[in-house]
Amino acid sequence: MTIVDRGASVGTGAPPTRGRTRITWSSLSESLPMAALGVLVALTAVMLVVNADFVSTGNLRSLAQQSAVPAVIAVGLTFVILMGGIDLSVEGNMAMASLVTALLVANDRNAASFGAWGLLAAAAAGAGLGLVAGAAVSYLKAPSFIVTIGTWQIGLGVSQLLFGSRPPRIEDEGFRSIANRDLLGLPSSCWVALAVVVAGLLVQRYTRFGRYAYVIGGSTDIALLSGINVMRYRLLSFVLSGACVGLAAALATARTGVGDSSVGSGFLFTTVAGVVIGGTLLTGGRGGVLHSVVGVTLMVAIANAMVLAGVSSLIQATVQGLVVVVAVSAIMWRSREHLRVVK
Amino acid sequence: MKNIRKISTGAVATMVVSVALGGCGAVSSDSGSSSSEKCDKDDLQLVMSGRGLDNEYYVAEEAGARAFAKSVGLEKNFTWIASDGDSSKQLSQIKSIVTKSGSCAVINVDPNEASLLPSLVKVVQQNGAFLVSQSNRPEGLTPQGSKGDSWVAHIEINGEPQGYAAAKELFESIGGKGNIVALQGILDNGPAKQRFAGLQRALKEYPDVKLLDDQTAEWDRTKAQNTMQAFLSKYSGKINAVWAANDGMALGALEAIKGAKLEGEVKVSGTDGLNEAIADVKDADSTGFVATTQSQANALGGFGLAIAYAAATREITPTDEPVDHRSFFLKDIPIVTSATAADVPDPSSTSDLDFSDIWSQAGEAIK
Repeated sequence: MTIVDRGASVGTGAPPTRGRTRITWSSLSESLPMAALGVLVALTAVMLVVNADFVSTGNLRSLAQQSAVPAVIAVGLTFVILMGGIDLSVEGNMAMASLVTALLVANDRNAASFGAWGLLAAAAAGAGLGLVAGAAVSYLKAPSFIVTIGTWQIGLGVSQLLFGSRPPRIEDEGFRSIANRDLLGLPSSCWVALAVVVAGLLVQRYTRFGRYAYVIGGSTDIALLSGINVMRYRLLSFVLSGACVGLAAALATARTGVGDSSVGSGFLFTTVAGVVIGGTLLTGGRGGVLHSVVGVTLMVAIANAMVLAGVSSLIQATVQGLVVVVAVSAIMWRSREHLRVVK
Repeated sequence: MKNIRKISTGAVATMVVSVALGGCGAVSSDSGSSSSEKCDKDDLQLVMSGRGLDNEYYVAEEAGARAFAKSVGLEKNFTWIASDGDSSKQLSQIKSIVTKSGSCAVINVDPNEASLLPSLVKVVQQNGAFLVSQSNRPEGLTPQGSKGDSWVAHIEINGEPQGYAAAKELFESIGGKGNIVALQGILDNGPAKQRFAGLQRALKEYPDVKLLDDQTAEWDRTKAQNTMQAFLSKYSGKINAVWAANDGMALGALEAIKGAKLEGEVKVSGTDGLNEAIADVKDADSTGFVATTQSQANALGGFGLAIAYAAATREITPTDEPVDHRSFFLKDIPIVTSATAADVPDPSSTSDLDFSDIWSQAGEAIK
């Protein structure tokens, strides 16, 4: 059980009145991921000394492109985690959605050619898998931790069915250009990701779903007593998360150009670690879309910085893990004061 | 009402369990008695176990193994089982097959990881089944050193000459001098080490080629694309070529190169012979993808199963076979370049596999 220390922490993701409230560190870090931004600034400072190419235009562009996919995943995942759940199905869901996308746009396996509708189809496929998980979690009361491991396997299984004997290669250059062609100086996928992030922020601030997410995660009991339809919102969070993962898979598939069941490999770590580093608590009730997006950007930047700094391959995974542990400990430092029980 | 339902479910469950146990008992006592005897040909169960059919390599391997089963008229007795990259799953799958079929089980396995092989060998030995293993093997453990005939043979593809030949072709494509970067596989994988050793041998022969940097991208296409983007920032304008330990990573690197508008200028080499890579190699002048290897997964699948089958039907007695029939590398085959890419057969095509001589593909013994 989470012991909520300040009444204010329920629903403070978006305080309605900002007016004359004194801006303090804690009020700031409620609405902005200050700690993760701090680590990002520190990382940049270190890299300026080690290898200044880190901040070159080309590299920043690569970082933006590489962050697009995990950022889209993080937006959906944030709502699940805000409500105190977890969605571990990311990699299996991406596998399925990647094959669905590749087989629906012009490809070398069938005659389909739905172009940009591939994005929507992938999101719909992902949402479908999310619906299965959400229904099991909210209506059958199964723990999301196990249920989403199950839907992970379902997604993987579907992708294997769709795979046939060779990966479908995308021949729709227009679709590929979503990832590869620039629009106003950035790859188009970055704009798609940006749109998703903005939509996520709007949902978080201005919809019942977004605001109740904090209440449900802060205390499910209070939410139930207040007459909030917890089951329905929880179900919705998994559907949203699935849709985001599906869309992310379509972007990743546009980037590599081939339907691939391992397209999601590594993204579970990047996104869950990113969401937590951003300051969204796994116990729910705190954090938000912006926190998570900064968190995953930090994760992508760390991986990129290690290559630029020439950290040996042999110790890279260890260094990355260590950075995560240190960063999370530092970022969570303040929570210790409040008798928060960490689950 | 609720209670009654509970009780009846319980009763049904008990019945199911006892029926299942009875069934098991009957089968295992059957095979137990016949474990040292020769199995009737029609009862042989031919099994190929690998990671999963969502991967071109295993699709080709399954096709090769199935082609062999067909060649001896036992296609209906052939099963492909997918481990999905899960070692304990693979062990329990093989365990259930060998306890059920005993000496009738003929298994060709690509162990999920090297450390799994000793357990697999043990269950196969206990049940008198026949096993050929491939690719992953712990150091120092060999079929010729094992007890009895159960672990028939171990087959690998030698990655060193592959890595070497691809590197050489890559170096020639940049005129024998320049700067390269390398993308390695998972660092503790045998093939990753062998292929990288091949690259290093080639580097010694070309003193004017400099390895600027190497990183692992863990066989992964997206990671390779990210790493290559970082390399292109770090060594902006300096990289002439990329050596990748497999085609997936080479294709990922190629996407990064395309993104930087350097397609054709920065050369790429891979290994494995994926369809996509071969298509790019055909068009090497514009893609810059100069070399890959030909896939031998179908031979590993087909000949591996053929050798285990020969032991099960007593055509061969493994303990009497020479060492180079017990653990060996497949014969090296030439790499694929733009000159030869058009003639490369589909990796899953099995028309070239001739099972009349099961040792026809056996090359150098593994020491």
